[in-house]
This record gives sequence, structure tokens and C-alpha cells, in this order.
Amino acid sequence: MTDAAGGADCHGGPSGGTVVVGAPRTALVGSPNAGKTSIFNALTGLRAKTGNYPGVTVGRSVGVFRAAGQDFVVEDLPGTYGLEPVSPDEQIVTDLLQGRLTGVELPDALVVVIDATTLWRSLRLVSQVLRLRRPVCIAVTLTDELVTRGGRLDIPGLERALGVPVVRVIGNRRVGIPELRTKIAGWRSWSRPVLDPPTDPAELEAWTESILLASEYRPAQPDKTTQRIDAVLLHPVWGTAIFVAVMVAFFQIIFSFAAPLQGLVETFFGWLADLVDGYVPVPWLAGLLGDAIIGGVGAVVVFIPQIMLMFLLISLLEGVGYMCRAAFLMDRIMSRAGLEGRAFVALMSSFACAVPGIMATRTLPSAKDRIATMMGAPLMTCSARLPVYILLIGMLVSPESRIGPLQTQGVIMFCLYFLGAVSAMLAAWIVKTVQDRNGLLMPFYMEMPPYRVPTLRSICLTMWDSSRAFLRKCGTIVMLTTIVLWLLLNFPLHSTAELTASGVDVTDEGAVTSFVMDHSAAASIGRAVEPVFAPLGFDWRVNIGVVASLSARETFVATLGQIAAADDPDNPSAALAAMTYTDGAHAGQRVFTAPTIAALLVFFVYALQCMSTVSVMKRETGTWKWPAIAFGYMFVLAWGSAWVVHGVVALATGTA
Amino acid sequence: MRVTHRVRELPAAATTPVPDPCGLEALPIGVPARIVDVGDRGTAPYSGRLGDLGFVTGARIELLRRAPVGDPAVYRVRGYDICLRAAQARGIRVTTTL
Repeated sequence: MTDAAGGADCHGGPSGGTVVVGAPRTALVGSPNAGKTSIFNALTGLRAKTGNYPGVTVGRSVGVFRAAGQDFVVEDLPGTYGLEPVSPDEQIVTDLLQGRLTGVELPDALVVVIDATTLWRSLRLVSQVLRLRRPVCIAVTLTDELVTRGGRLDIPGLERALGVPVVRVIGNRRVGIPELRTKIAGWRSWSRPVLDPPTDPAELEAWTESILLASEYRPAQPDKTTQRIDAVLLHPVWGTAIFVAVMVAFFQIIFSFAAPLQGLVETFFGWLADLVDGYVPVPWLAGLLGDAIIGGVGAVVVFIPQIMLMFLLISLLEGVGYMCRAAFLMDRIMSRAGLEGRAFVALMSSFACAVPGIMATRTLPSAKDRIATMMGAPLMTCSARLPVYILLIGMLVSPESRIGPLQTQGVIMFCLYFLGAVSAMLAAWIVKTVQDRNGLLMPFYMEMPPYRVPTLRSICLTMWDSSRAFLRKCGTIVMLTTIVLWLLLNFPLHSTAELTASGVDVTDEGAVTSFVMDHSAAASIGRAVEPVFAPLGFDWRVNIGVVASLSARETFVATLGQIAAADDPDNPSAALAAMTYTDGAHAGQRVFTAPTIAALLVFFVYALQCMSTVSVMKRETGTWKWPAIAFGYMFVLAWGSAWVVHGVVALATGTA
Repeated sequence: MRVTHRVRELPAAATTPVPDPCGLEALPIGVPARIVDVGDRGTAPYSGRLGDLGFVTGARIELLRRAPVGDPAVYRVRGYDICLRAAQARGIRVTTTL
């Protein structure tokens, strides 16, 4: 883990990677899996600036390195198999290399990164890049794997045959990185080929053959280990069984291994809150610091162990090469929803959080698939729903209740997860079908690289990159809402005279808090939306929770906690269960009846109560249209289903 | 060129003779073959992509395995493994006469 800590420090200052004006610009071109990103990381030493290309949602990484006393800008282009674009990412590469991308300068020099084990295929891309007539240098990766698999390649021979400089690089082990740096520094003196590679298919074949011959290329033998592992992991029966086992283990690890760490985080924040309580003499300041800021940040930080663990597992599965195997096994099922196997990875990540899930749609080459997956992803049961489900299910059935040998609580939890997953697939299918009314279907292809042992460094880097994005997005939004909510719940302030005039015993702290809350701005909001939620059985206090949870689902628990604590600070959960309507037709009746709890659960299955998801969706699609559609359809779905469930449960239990 | 028909029919069993040349999706597992036609002309902008992936006339190809329900399948072409759905593979004609 020391590696991760080191990475964290390097990532601390984004200013380290600021793009230097006037410095020569080099772009890295290459197919996915060729090792472009590890070369980029090794070259720039992680001082990369990440962002988007102007006007589009394709991620951009730019970094700087120093060689021969001068700064050089390096840009890691999205992976592509050819310069005839079939996806938005590839369109960017083509436009950028032809100087047609507004706001981005044409790079001075190009480094084509090619994988020695797929040299035959890679030469197609090389030929297309050479025809651009820009200064080109080739970086050959995975030569070590080529040799262990019985192949060979003569680098000087390849250099002579292509007529451009060729460098052997192994990014992960930093072999050849200093040479590549020196090479880039001398980009002005790179040799250029005398003739352009041919375009005619037959001539291009002959050109490729001649290059392979001149570089004494002997292709790698199929990787024996990979063949043996695939025989099991992709076996129709065993492969499927192992896949299910991997998924079960995935969630077991996320939920069980993270629990003790989460306990530690909770203890720490509890200690911090006590500290504030003891040392801050001003009550309102103590409330703001303790309840709003520490409580709010704590509510999010408690998910960090889980999120980081999930990203660690995903980057491990990805790095080893299992993810594309999983996509291969799942492709058929995903095609039912009009999607492809790789969308499965995005939907699976959404079980932890829709934010990384939506970011993972970047691996999908088809823009339509990306949108469809994004529209479904927020319905997958994310970890923020979990505390809400736990609270509500706990109020609905007792832990002793059983259906056959199974605990009822667990069965309900499983049903909620299942409902979310099925709904997500359905939503994606509908969006895909509507979008596919006209237009070409994007062909599906996916490279299956051999199994590889990833370096600890690369795993930790991937994990940290994803976690950092999650932390920044969620930390700010959740903290902001809890502060706003705290203010709404505690203002306007009331003088002692006012309290006494209203018949409140000012010495009774609980009575004062109740009064303040009943007359707070939040209460007005909760009452204002009462007509909307009354058919679902929600009272104004539940409404405050629901409105607050529109920012982030987990705030629902915190809000109800704040409200219940006002009634009975010593035993908030009992206070919550016993909560009764304060006014109106139902005054005196219990709020949390079975129909209401069931309606709340279903409401949380469907509603898009997550501003982080909305903002990521906006960032990834580049327009407010899709987040607006998602929010709208999910709210209607949530309200409708909650209404139906409320009615059905009320009938079934006889509690009208 | 919308592929509307379901990719239901499983590849011909080994006992029934496979026509030669046949569609790539009908190739039996483990039998080396040669691409005779990539046959995706006119479906721009994707026409060049199969070529970029190594599916070119004359290339040696082998079907390695199929996913549980028969689709998609992994092929070895140009020394690496790639997964295609039957819908894409169908357009590629192969012969087992090398």
C-alpha cells in the first residue's frame, strides 16, 4: 500500500502538470491494451492533468516531462485500432491528428505505441499514421512477452524497414523510458519514410509482409497458461459457475471486509463529534460543526473503505484480464437489453456507486450504448441506498422473522437488489430501442489479451484515480447539503420570550428542539410538498428526509436521525418507530406503518436521489438533456411504484 | 443494413457438411481456415474497421471457443485473440482449404 500513498502525494497538486506554453507537443497514438497509458505515466511521472476535450465528453490526459533542459508536453490519446473513426473517442483522435479539433493544437510529433505480440495487426495503424506525414516515432511494447512466448523481433530491422525511429519500451518496468525521452527531445531530427505506405488492400498486405520480413519477425506462440486458464474460465458450465462465484465473492468482500474499516471510521467521527461537543461552548456552532459538518462528512467518509475496496477489486480483475472474459460470458445476456458485454462491467460497478459506473461507460465504443447504460446505471442498488434499506427493513420486519430457513430481512434486501438490476436492464433496453429506430448498429468486437500479472503500482494507481474522483464529487455535495439542511432545520432562531409565549418549557432541551424543528424552514418545505407525498403515506418529517435525500440518498438516514433525536436524543431509533402524525386527518397515528415503509423502500429503488450522479451524467454526455430525462423518468417511476406498493401492502395487511 | 433477424440458429453440427467457403460464424472449433472475403463493403463508417482488426482477405483464422449460448465467439487472427458476435462474423467468408 506504500505505492498508493506515494501516488496520492503525486496526485496532490494538479498544478504540477500544468501545460507549458510553447513547449513541443507529442501525442501518444495506439490501440487499446497496447500499453499507452503505462508509457504515459512512466514518461510524465504522474504529473498529468486530466480533463475533457473541448465540447465533448472524451477524457483527456496531458503531462509534461523535462529532457535536455527543456519541457515537453505529452498527450495520451484515447485508444484506437484505426484512424477511420467509429466512436466519439476515435473521432477525437482522427480530428486531433489532422488538426481539425478546435481548441487543441496539432501535435508536433507522434509516438505510435504498438504491442509486439500483435505487430501484424498494429502495422495497419502505423501505416495510417505514417500517411499523415507528421514526424513519427514507434514505441514497441511487450517485447519481453513476445520473447517468452517464442517470438522474435529485430528492432533495428523494423527501424530500417519503416524508415522512422523505433524504441523498445516496457512502461511498467520503465525499460526504455529514458531512451524514449531522449528520442522525443530530438523530434526535429527524426527520419521520415521515403514513400507513403500504400492504401490499396493488396499492396498494403505486401507492405506489411515486407516490414515483418525485414524485421525478422516471428510471431509469439499462443500463451499456454492463458489457453489453460481460458479452457476453464470460459467453459460453458465451469466458466459460468466460476463467474457467479467471482461475483458473489466480489460483493462478499466489499460488504464484509469493509465493515470493520467502516466501524473504525465511524468511531473516529464519533470521537471527533464528542470533542466538538466538549470544547465548543457556543451551542449553535457546536451543532453546525458536530451535526452538519462532521456528521455530513462522516456520512460519506464511512463509504470510503467500501468504495476503495471495490475499485481495488475492479482494477485487479481488469489488470489480470478477467473483465473482458466476464464481458464475453455476459454478452449474450446483455444483448437482450440491446447492450454488449462491456456494459456489464459498468452496471456491476454501479452496485457500489453509479458515479464510477457511469464513468466506466467510457469503455463502450458505441455512444448509444453509453447513453443507454447511463440511463440504467442509477437503478442498480448502490451502496448509498444500503443504509436506507437497512434502517427501513429493520423497522418493517424483526430480525427473528423467517421465510422458511431464510431471514426475512435478507430476503427483502435481495429482492430490492434484484428489482434494481432488472429495472436497470429494462430501462437500458427501452432507451436503446428508442435510439435504434434508425441508424446503423455498431459492430461488436473485443480484444481478449492474455492473462497478465499486473504490477501493484498500476493496480493502486487505477484504484486511486477512481476513488479520488468519487471523493471529490460526493464529499463536496453531501457536505453542502447537510449544512444547508442543518440551517433549514434550526432556523429561524427563537428567543426565550417567544418560546415561553408559545408554552414551551425552556428548561426542557428536547421540547425546545422539537419546537424549533416544528417551526423551521425545513418544516415549511416538508409541509409544502405534503400533497405530493401524502398518497404514499409520508408525513412532513419524512418529506424533509426525502427532499434532503435528493442530494444524496444516505442523507435520508442522517435527516431522520436528526429529527428523531430531537424527540428522544437517548433512543432515536425507538423515537423513529413510534413517530406519529402531528396534525391533519391522521393525527396521532403511527407514521411508519408497513405500507409507508414499503412505499419508501420502492421509492428509494427508483428515484434518482443523487446530485453526484446527475453531475457526472452531465459531464459524460455534455448536455443537461440526459440527466433531466433520467431524473424525470425515475421520479415518475418511483412515485408510481411507491403508490402502487402502498396500496397493495395496505390491502394485504388491512392497514388502510 | 439493419440486422433484425435473431441470431438463434446454432452452427451446423460437425456431422452435416459445412459448405465451403462458409460464413466465419459457421466454422467448426479448432479448424484452421483462411479468409476469402471480408464482405463488409458499403457499410461505412465501419467498413475499414474489420481490416484494422486483422480480418483481411488471405489471413489465417481459427475459431477458439464460443460463449455459453453459442454467441459471441473468440477467434484467433494475426496472432491475437478477438471476440466477435455472429452478426459480424457472418459477413466474413472463410475456407478450410488452406
